[in-house]
Amino acid sequence: MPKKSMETLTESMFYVLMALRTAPMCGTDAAEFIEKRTNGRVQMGPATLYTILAKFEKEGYIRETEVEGRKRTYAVTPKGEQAYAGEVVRLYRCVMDAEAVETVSRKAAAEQEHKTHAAGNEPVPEGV
Amino acid sequence: MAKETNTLHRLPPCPAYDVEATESWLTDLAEEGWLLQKDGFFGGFASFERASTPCSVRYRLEAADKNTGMFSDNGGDPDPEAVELSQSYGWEYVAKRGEFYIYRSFRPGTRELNTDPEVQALGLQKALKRQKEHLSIMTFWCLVYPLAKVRFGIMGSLLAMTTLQALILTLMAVWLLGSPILTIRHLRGLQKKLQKGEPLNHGKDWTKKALLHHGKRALLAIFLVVWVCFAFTTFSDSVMDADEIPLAEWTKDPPFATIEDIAVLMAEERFGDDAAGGSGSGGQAADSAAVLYRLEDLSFLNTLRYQKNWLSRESYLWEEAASARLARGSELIAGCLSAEYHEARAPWIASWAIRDYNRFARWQWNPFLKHIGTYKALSEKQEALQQKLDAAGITLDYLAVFIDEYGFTTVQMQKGCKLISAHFTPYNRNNADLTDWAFALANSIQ
Repeated sequence: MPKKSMETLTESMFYVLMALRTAPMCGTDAAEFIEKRTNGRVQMGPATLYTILAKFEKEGYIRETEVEGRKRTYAVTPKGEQAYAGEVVRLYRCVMDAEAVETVSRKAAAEQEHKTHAAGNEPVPEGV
Repeated sequence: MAKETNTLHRLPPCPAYDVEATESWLTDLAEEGWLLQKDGFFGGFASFERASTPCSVRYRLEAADKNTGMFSDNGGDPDPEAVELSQSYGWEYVAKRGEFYIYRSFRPGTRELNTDPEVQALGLQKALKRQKEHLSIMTFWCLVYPLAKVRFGIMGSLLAMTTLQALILTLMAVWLLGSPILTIRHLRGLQKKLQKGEPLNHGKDWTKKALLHHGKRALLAIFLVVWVCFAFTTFSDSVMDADEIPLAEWTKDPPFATIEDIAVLMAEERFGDDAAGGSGSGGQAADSAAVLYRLEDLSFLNTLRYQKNWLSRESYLWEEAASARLARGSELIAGCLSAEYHEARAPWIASWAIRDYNRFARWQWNPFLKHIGTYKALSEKQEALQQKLDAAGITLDYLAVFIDEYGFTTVQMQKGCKLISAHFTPYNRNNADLTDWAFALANSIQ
């Protein structure tokens, strides 16, 4: 089932909030920040960036702080901070879950190998 | 030597909402050396200018975040901030089409305009919302309002229309409602695809459905021409009363009782079998029972409209102002008979339509006519008429007697395929009673 809008932040949305949390900035600066931060892994398309900024402003995650010609500067609002913190927690949990699963499967593999060696009266290799 | 043109005008091979096909088509034309002109979509056509050399250009459509109409903010063009932002990444705004802005990039290595499909799906939401609003407006004006106007009497209205009128109005409603429905359906599909994280197919084969699209456009163009001609003819006919025929010129006997028939029946009732026989000892009575009929010289009355359509074998809209008297006696009847008669192609059509007509009379929604009067059932008169009909062995499938909103005593009746809604306005009190003229009408549709 498709996700409801803004229920979870996408990677680009998350990074836009991250960029604007560091300091108020315009869209282009935010895109540059993100590219630098992720070593070029996340590249924001202009339409994506503009759609995110417009959506965040509508949802009250960010607010316009300065307008200079056509350049608008945005800053994160407390609601945006909350959304960002929520997403960070979610991502932490994802990583912790992944690590826990990884630990369990490593342990199971080690036990299995130990049993195999024991059944064949083979000495267990060091480091297992 | 043929002069080389620098401008090309083409009909787009796909609808405006088909984002993938539009992108692919514009890209293919650029490869042939034709670049979309600035604001190059106008009047259903796309205009291109010749490029110095065929080039590889990427065209991308971006869902507009506001109404793209020329009366919208900034003339419906995209926000200058969005244009500048795109420009800084190598994307140039070119034109708008339907709910979308068209950008292009000449630089092959430039990052995509949209890099996050889920965000792109969010962008489509506004376009979808506008289409839904458009559909609601169309539903109101093409469905709810016309139906309310005829008090939801669909069958009654269809019976009164010509087949061409019904066909054109139906096609028009289907087109006006179907167009936003198709757009919504397509945009939803696109949104779902993007929400799943799937990118759009920028190289979609637009040629596959091009013929179908052009066929639909041609049909639409033909339909529009027919509709304009039809609207003009209908308007001029209604102004000139072109379809009105004077009763004096009408030679065919109508299939229902007219004032003359009512008078003859009244004379027969008065003089019994003698009037009908008119011979022997009853000769004098028959002479007395001879009816003299005269159409009144009223320019705005004594006309009829006659038509056949796919639902009715024949229909009459009869307006008769006449008097009839006995050759050697007093006046029998004098007044105006106004009748709408239809012989439907099936009894269920007639049954449905007569109930529609009755509902139309009952529901008075026009506040400007409220002061004139409202529907009032005449139960006693209906009872008296029913008794007379029963006595004569005449049966009807439907009968209603009432005073309508204009104060006319009206009778609505149906028997099998035939239905009639009529009112008779007498000139004076010593005239035909409802049981006389309504009885004659009921007798005539047996």
